[in-house]
Amino acid sequence: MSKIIVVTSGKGGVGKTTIATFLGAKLAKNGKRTVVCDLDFGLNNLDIVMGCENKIAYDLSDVLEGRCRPMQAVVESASVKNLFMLSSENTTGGQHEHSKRIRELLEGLKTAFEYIILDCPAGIDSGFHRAVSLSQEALVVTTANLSALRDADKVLAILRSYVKDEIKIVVNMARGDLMAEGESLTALEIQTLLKTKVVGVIPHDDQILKSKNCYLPPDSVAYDAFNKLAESVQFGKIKLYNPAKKYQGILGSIKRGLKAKL
Amino acid sequence: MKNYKPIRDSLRRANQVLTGDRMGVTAQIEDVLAKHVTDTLGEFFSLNGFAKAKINATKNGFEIIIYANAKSVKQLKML
Repeated sequence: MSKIIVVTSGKGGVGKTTIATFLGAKLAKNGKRTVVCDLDFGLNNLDIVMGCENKIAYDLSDVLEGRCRPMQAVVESASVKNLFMLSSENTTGGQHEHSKRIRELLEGLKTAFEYIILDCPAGIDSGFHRAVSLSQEALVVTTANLSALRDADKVLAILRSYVKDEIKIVVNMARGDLMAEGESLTALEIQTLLKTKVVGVIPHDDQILKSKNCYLPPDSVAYDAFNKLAESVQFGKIKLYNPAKKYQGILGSIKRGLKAKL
Repeated sequence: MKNYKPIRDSLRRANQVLTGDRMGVTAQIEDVLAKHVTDTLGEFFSLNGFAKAKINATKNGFEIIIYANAKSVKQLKML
């Protein structure tokens, strides 16, 4: 049975699109046909993160206004089998209040895809409400930063007013060295503060910034973290990546010291 | 070395901010309320210092606790 998951946060820049993309890629590699839909009208960037910006012929607004069929706008990833994307509009023209048509579109996509991941716009205005109302499950992305946590808390309060099968948290850009020193909140602390289960911890990893076409080298820290996140989403088995582990103990203290100096 | 402080500054601050946001009442509001209460009580009593106010969220709303200490009642001028 197909699942629709919205990836949201409230605060901008915490990594919603990154999480949506790499989670989608992992689910696709696990054999699940997955489409990631950009619901940020005007400030779209899913195509960039997925490395598909030169493959977009039609976007979501073309589908909603009847200029093309849905599958004509869906683009397959060049590097990950089973991974597809549906780009949003690349202009800043008018608001699109097509909630009913988007809902019909997603119902149609359910027949072709096992996972539909919605990349939600930042903020809590109409775009946010449109995206969250369309999904069965929600992943709220936050960082350990207090301003991100505050916005995530407000988003969680709003999400609870919608009927959702599950609402969970993903902690992004986690700094293991700071966690080991007690200078950054841990996943368990964030879970306690926000009163919502954390199902993924993604460490700060330069390989994500360098990534093209959703590729992460298997020896990168984020590779393992995204594997664990995909397992949590797909099978419900929560195994959190611990970014602080390699910074604990005597060797860990040396690593932290070296990192601080660099 | 891991910081073994019972509750770290970052955690305490996060807890305070989120609790204040959820309640809709902050420590600053308690200070403002205490000041107003001090001014009002001061018209009737000679207070020993400032009054204190504490607002706690309950299931049905809020519990407001005011504490003040006075040494005497002021002589009120009657018309």
